[in-house]
Amino acid sequence: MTTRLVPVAAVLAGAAASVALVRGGYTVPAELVAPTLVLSLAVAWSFVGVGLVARRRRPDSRTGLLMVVFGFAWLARFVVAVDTTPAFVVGVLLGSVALSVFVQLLVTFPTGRTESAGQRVLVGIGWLLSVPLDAVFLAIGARRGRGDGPPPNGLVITPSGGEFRPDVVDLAVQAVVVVLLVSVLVSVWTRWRAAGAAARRALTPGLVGGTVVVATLLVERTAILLLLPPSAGVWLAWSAQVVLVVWPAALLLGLLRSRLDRSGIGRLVVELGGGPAVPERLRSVVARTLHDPSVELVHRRPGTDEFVDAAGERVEVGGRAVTFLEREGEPIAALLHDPALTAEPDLVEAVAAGAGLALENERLHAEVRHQLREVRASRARLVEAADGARRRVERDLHDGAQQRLVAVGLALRLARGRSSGEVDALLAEASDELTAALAELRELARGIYPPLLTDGGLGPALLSLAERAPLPVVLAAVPPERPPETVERTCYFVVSEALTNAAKHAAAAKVEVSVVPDGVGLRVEVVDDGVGGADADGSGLRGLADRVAALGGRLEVSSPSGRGTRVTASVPCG
Amino acid sequence: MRVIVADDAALFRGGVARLIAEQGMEVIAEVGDAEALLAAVRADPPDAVVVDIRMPPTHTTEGLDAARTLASEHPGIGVLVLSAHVEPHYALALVESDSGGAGYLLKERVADVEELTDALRRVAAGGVVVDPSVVAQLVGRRRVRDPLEALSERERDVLAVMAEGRSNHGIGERLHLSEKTVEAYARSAFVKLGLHAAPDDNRRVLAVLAYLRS
Repeated sequence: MTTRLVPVAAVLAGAAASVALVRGGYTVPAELVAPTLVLSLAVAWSFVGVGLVARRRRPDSRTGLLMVVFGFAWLARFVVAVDTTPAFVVGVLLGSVALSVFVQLLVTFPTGRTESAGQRVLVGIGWLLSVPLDAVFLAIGARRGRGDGPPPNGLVITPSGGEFRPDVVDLAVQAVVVVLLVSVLVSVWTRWRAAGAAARRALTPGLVGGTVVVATLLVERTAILLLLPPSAGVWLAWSAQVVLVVWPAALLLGLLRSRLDRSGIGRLVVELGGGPAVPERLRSVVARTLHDPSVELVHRRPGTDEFVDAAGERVEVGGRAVTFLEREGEPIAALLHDPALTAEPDLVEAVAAGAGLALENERLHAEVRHQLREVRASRARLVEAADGARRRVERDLHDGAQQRLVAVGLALRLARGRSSGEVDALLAEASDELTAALAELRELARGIYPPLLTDGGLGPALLSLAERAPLPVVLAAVPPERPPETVERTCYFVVSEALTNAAKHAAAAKVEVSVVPDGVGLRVEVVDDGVGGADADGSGLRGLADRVAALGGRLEVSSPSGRGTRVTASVPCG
Repeated sequence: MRVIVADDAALFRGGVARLIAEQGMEVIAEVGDAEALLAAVRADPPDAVVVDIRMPPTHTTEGLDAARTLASEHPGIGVLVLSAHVEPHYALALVESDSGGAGYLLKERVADVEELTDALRRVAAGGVVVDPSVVAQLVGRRRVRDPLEALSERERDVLAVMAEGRSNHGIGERLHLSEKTVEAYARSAFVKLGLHAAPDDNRRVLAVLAYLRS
């Protein structure tokens, strides 16, 4: 609501200040009116304008608000330029408010909030030196100057003219101000030194500008002690104002820099999403985001309180600042970083949360990959086991039932040699039945598992399939070398099943079979010229697809209606 | 005629030995595996051996391997392999070695004792024997343009029995035709298929088998 009125208020206040200076009743040297007004308005409007921007861009920081307040406090000094007693009183009381705000602004930058006892003391003294102290001055009899001189309180910067005779109170106040300014400088310097690379990026522009202003003020205040000529003091005072004009921009830059780090979190997430969260990559992305090249990423050994680095070496996490990456409240890893980064806990925690997500994501990926490997291996074992079972059944049929039936045939034959007439005819009938049964059993056993595949390989086994097929089968290509057994069996069963389907449903005039190496393994193709429309999800083809997939291969069935069926399987070797 | 029988199933082995003996052949040894067979042959070479294709230790094609060894060590001995598989691959591997008498017969054929003793006599005499069901599979294969369709039914029959390893005389006996008629059918079939007349019966069989397999 008020935010939109603030610029208007600032313009009005600026106009009022100008009017107060020009028509307030005091005498201002003509050549000083324009510079004084230009600089003062520049300082005030710069602070108000940039302060509003800062407030919008960094609503979490009070710095913007303090800047706006400073801008108005700067204009409030002009009340004293009105040559009346009430204006004199108000002007004296408000005359030093800008200094208090300035101290608070500099000491608390960039959060705008006091965060230590030292900061609170400095800010407190800064405020004590303005309205309360000026009130004391009024009480002990500060008098309004004559109306024909320049306005009091150094509103317009002029040489003091040499008649200045400070009394003890004046000297004491000056001493306190100097001590305060020195303390502010020390505080600023200490804070900057303690800051890590990340925090310094945000602090430096604001603190450098502030330090220049303070140093200039200090020199000006102590000009007499430093035996500088009065003109030097004037020059310094002007310089301080010029610096004040640009200082808000520096403050804003600092604020935006720490805000850039916030948008760095977004980049962090994007970058982490761009590849696997391998520890070294994760570490370098985090280091870049935090502007702290010394960041280390350590992992917690599950079930212990120990942390290890990427090389598996145990790492003590006590030494540096630590931020934990947590999952379900349990630390899974930790970032060891520049202690100064704890000044921006939000940033570090956001980074830690992002990195934690990436780690967790990577862990889940690894788990899924592991499970997939397990499933693949178990699927391959299932195929292996099923093949083993088939071979055993074939062998059992051969060595058991077939062998016994052959022996029975032999016994029947021996019996026929000793029989005659009706019995002989019955025995002959039994022999024929037995021959038929044996033929059926033989085909059954061969269908379950063809021993020729193991003995002779894919070529003879496929040729045998082609010879038995109830429709013409052309063997276009078969590799001369023998692939691994599982691959060989899979290729065989693909052809066998595809031929069975073609014979049953395709009404094809011929089928062409080829098995060729395709770089990674074998490519099996069974192509017929039949009616098409085969159902790839029919149980036979579905089972084949599963079987091929168990070896990491792919089975494709293309069967457009009326244009034949093409079954293609890529079976990788190993 | 002296014969050795090799089969790991004692009951079957005994039965075969008894049938052969009943037909007037002399079974000089019965053994249970290929190693024992080779030892028995070296100790006292027979005229022919009957050997199961599948024997210990691996129960795959020990019989074929033994036949190969015998063919090189004792080319004069006829080897008849009994098998449960109707697989031209095995039969051709056996007879293609071109080193004398070899035969591939389905196990259950032994129930027809005349067929068994006939096969034994033929392999002992250096001939080739291929089981009719194996030949049937080769002849019966569906082809896109089947050259066998150019043959008459009789020519096809003659060709099939020829592929079983029989001479013109044998074919004539089986099909109840005179040897001369068989000869005429065989010649016309060869001409139609573009086959060259072979110098002897075994080569003729192999040529026909190779033709059917192609």
